Amino acid sequence: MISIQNLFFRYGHKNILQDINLQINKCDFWAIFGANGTGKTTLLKLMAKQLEGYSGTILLNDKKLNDYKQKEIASIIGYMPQKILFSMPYTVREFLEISMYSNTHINKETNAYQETLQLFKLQKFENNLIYQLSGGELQRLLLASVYIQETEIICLDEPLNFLDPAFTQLTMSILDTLYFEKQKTIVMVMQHWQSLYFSKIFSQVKVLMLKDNKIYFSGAIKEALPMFEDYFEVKLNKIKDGNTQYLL
Amino acid sequence: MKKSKLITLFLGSIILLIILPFFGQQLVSISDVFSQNELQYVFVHYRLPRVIISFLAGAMLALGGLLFQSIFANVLATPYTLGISSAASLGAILAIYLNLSFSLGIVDSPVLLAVLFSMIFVIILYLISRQQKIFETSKILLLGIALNFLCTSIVLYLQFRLDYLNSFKIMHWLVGSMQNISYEVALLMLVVAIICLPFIFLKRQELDLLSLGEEFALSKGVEVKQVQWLFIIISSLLVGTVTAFLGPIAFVGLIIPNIARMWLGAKHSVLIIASFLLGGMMLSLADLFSRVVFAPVEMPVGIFTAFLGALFFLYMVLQKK
Repeated sequence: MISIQNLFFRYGHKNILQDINLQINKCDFWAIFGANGTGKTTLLKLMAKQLEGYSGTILLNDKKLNDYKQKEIASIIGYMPQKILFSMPYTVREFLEISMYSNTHINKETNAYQETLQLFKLQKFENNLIYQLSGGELQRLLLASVYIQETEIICLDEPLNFLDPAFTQLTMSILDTLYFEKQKTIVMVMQHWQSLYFSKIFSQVKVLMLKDNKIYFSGAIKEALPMFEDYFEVKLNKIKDGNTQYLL
Repeated sequence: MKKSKLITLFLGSIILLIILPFFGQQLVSISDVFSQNELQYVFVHYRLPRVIISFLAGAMLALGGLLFQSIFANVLATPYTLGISSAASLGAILAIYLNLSFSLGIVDSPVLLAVLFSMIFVIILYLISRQQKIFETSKILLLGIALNFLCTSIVLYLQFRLDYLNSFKIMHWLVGSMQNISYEVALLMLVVAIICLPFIFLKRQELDLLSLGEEFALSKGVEVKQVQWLFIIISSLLVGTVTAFLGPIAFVGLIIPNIARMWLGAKHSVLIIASFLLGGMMLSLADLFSRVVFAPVEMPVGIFTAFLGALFFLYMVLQKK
């Protein structure tokens, strides 16, 4: 679906990304890790055409990313930016309606809207103003606004930030639904791999680790786990539960 | 709910447009209108076009303000922040300073230069941001603020160089008042409004998305830069036209969209019409007030709107969500 070849990105004189090569296939779940400033958000933005000015090639369904109009992109890739603050008094309902902008094949009054409300447990907030929601509720609404675009690919930039354990678990179970039932391809930037333990996808996750603006590792999570201590430069405790080994 | 509020606004506007011309320093009765006396002349040639102009001016300023607040996702943004009106002021005042006396039909030299300068201002802003690769709206705003101060300083310099009479003329212009009253001016403003409104209404979804921030709008598929510039041009056309004829009338563009938003919510399908009507009602009422309160002296309406606006601005800043 997304194919990235020899990708470089500079901001001023600073190299943000160097020689990135990545192949994202249908129904993949990618988790992108990296210390602050290693370019993981930039990479996510570039593949979702939220940022321009790179060199190299990014192909989306074998077509150059630059040949897509923004609205076409938004009908294939749902991109969720990091937490945003809103100042306009839209209701949750209006917000979701607005988010259907690129989705041309649904009728606004039909189930897509109701289904989204239910899936994200937002029914009781339907008429609330968006800036009255708590951090966790807003994050869920943002995710819902991506879902309602009905795209094949979903790109999420640290969707678990600021969430308490209960909300983290809820979000991960929603991701499970998107992955297993809705067959979505998901790319997610995150800080703490521990959240992945909340998910049934865990064993199928593919991991991309960035270090010093380059790819440090890319591959299956099983191969990635042993490298975490070196990569994150932390000492990890290991817990064994049956056949599964947890790193905490 | 919202529909009935919109209908209320619409009816209110029509009623105001009908009854306001009868009020003023002297009350005009219906029988006066159909007789051949002095009051009939005042009614037809002075009051009626004035009410139409003040209504359109308020409506256009509110619309221009709404567009700026939406494309910059900031409820406190106005075209004045970006310096469009001070560019228009600079044009008009340069015409007064140089004593230019050419005209183009109803459009005399200060008006012509005001429109010209506000357009040039937008083009310069566009070219600088293009050339310097400045795309973040916050930086464009900062750039506008800098150019705003540049224009203002030149205006003050010109005023400083002039004699008392011309200096007073400039001050009067800078406050914003109803001096250019004629049906031609009213018609011209109506044409500009009619050209701009469909554009704005067609792009209401994009405005909804932009008002939630450009990052968000981009992620939902809006060609952010194109739409932003389209609306910067449209709103400077709206505001530049009003400023050219009436001077920089302060704060209408800030207050009205905010009141409309508090009352009717943020969706542009409603907000565009509501701001337009509410702006028209507010300025035509404010104009009546400024005509009558210190009669027979007429207070420039800009003083009144600035006073109201400053209070409202304070309220907005201090209000806790």
